[in-house]
Amino acid sequence: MKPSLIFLLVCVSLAAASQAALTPQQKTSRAVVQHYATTVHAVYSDCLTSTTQLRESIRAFLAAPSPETLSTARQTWIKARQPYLQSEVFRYYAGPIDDADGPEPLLNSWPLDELYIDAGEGGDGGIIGNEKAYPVINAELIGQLNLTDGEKNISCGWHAIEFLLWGQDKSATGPGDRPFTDYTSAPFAVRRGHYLQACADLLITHFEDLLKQWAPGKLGNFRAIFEEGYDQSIERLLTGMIFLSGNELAGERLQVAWDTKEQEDEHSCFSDMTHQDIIFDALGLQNIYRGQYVRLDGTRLSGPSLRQLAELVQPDLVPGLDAKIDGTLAAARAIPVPFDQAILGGDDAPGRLAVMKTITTAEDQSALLRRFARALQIQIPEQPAGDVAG
Amino acid sequence: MKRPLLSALASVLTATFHASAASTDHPPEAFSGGTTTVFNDGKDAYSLALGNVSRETRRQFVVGNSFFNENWIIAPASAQARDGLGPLFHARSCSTCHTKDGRGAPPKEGETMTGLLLRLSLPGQAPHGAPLPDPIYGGQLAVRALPGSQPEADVPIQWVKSIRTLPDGETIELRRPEFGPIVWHYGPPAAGLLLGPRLAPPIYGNGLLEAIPEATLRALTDPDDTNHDSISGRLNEVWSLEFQKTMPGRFGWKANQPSLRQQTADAFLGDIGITTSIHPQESLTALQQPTLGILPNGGTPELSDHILDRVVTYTQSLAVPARRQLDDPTVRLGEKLFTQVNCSACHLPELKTGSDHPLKELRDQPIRPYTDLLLHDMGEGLADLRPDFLATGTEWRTAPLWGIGLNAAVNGNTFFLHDGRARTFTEAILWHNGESTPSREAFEKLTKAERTALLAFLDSL
Repeated sequence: MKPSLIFLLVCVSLAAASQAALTPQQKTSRAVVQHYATTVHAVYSDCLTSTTQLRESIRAFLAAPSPETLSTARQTWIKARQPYLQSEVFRYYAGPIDDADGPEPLLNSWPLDELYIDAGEGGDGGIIGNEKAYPVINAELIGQLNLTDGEKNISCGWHAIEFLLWGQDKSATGPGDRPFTDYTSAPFAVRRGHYLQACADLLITHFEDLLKQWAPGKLGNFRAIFEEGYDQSIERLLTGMIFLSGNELAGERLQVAWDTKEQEDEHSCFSDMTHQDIIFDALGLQNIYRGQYVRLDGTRLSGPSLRQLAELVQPDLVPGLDAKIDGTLAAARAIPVPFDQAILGGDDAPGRLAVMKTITTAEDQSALLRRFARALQIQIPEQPAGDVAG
Repeated sequence: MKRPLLSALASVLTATFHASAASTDHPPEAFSGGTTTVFNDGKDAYSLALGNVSRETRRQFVVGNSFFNENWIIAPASAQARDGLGPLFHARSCSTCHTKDGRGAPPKEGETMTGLLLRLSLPGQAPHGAPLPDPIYGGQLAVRALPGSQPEADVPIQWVKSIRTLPDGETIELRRPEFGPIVWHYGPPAAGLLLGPRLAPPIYGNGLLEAIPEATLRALTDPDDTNHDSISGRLNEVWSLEFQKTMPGRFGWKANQPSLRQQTADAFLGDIGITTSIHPQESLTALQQPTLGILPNGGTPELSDHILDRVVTYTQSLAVPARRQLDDPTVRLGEKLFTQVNCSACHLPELKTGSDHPLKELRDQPIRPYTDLLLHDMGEGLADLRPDFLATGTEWRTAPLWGIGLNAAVNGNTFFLHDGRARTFTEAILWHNGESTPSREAFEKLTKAERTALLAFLDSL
């Protein structure tokens, strides 16, 4: 099913012909969209770099399991999450990350049922402990087993790796403390190592695929089409922001844990790094609003921003947007660590107040971005086009 | 992740559709759930909160959604909010069977049942007219158990096929399930045991059905067929554990559940083995109690009222997706034929919700559910011969048809009827007998093009 070259040329020349007739709003939109695409590519490039480092540290740990190599692998996981979390704002509009073929369910599904993966209290051995059913553990197998027979039967992705590195968190003050001997002398040690390796391998292939779709100057990839749009592409960009803040961050990530006060409902429950998840999601939102991104190597990308578009179209929205976007990030940074302790106590406990403030600010931010969309005469769907639950 | 350009283009166009769909320039028939309708035709079409959801309800919805998906684990475990699975159970989470808030799938030959379960009863009635449970196995068969315990039974399934030839010569293969020989692990059941297979139904839209006034449903009944259209229509009257009185049945294949709260609590107990304040005791018969009743549980009750409330709000506030393809003349023709052959006598296109549902989003909504929630005799071919309160062994509740055209998009299949025997709309229609015989015969006599149009209409719902 290959589109004809003529068809493509028609698309491109139509776009070029219409360039001259663009309104100031369309011109700014086009510039914002193009800078957004540059940012997406930079963020996913950093994801590939950091997950490659994660894979190397996992290899080093499995080659010589010790408390030190395990600790290095954990620290690498924590660092590797930072660019990825800033990429979550690229979801929810059926783009490469979460269209019908998108890898999102394989990447960041949570909260996972650890007993689906590994042997443990209350379980039946999981995939690792079930040698008969799954004689060989590899990336293909764990990809296939993801989300079968239940939405929490999560077999791979960031949180599977997190669980395999930290184990269940049974400590009030710190994260899980899986011993390195789970990879040397414990039952199923070798299979557990294969599992961890397979998860890391799979992660990398996802970012390689995403980079192809967002690579510049590639005729026919997602970015090529995305960059030609202005209203449509702005609609997507805003959809990602609205759903990350109003639905995912305020809802799935914060409200559930706030309501149940259960550690199992925090996003990174094994490593106690949920505070980082919240902060870097909020930073990802700010990045797009302000047209900036600080790369892994410290270089700063900056360019035409959504804020500039707001200043052009509806300047009276800008102070509110500034306050909510910066406010969500500030509120996230003010949540006490660890998150699983911050959600405990009465509703007037400082931790719970801080979490609720982040929820409310993120909901407000989402509502304000919707208002901005209406000012642009863009209709944002009531619900995201991508996966809601992930 | 292979993504040819055309699919990328298609996704651009799809996103555009989503956006334009959210605008208000749709014909009224698109709004299957009034202002609660959502515009989404993808794999999340059944999983979205009401289109008019308030901030407060959305917060509760999110929490309920989390527990709907939750895998329950064996007690005692450190995860106290979600331990207590079993000791006997059918699945580990709601979403195992109600995948993506949609429909379950029946087993293939050789598979253990997941999206399908078996209800059990003996001839006669328990107090309040409920089905009479088997002394050993109770009212529902558990095909799974905790390690160290036996499931209640192994149930082989066979699909028996037959061919139906329509007046114009088109042939359709039908199939029906046969269960057995059942291997019972706790001794033989009582004589005359009745089996009621039940496919996990979709969850969306149920809040709106709960909000239909009782008086509306009573006005629709015609138990003695006084208008002589061959269609009777009876309301099931069932026992409410919450209110300790008889109330209209609305949910379940035989309308044996009066409210979503009771439906949810029954499902937690019967399907997952999770106790609630409505069902504080595990679902074990006296004969199972000495061996299975002594196993550790996950608290009393295992699911708090706080979380039960959230899950109930979740089931009440899953939205109905909008109708599609309304400007397609074939769909419009099919809609006319649907009324002409009188499918619409029971699959009622229009109803209105009342003004007193606890969720204000659900109040006073004009809805298009394509059901009357009443019981109808569907004939011997479809019968399970297992009565349930007032429902006889041949009666079934009219299944709502809203959203049904998206089943393939959400669940990747189109298994219909109470045991999932139908694999297509046509098969489902051909199983309609009893009161619906004249409509089914009229459908069979339509031309091929007309039948295709009627099916296209169903696909647009």
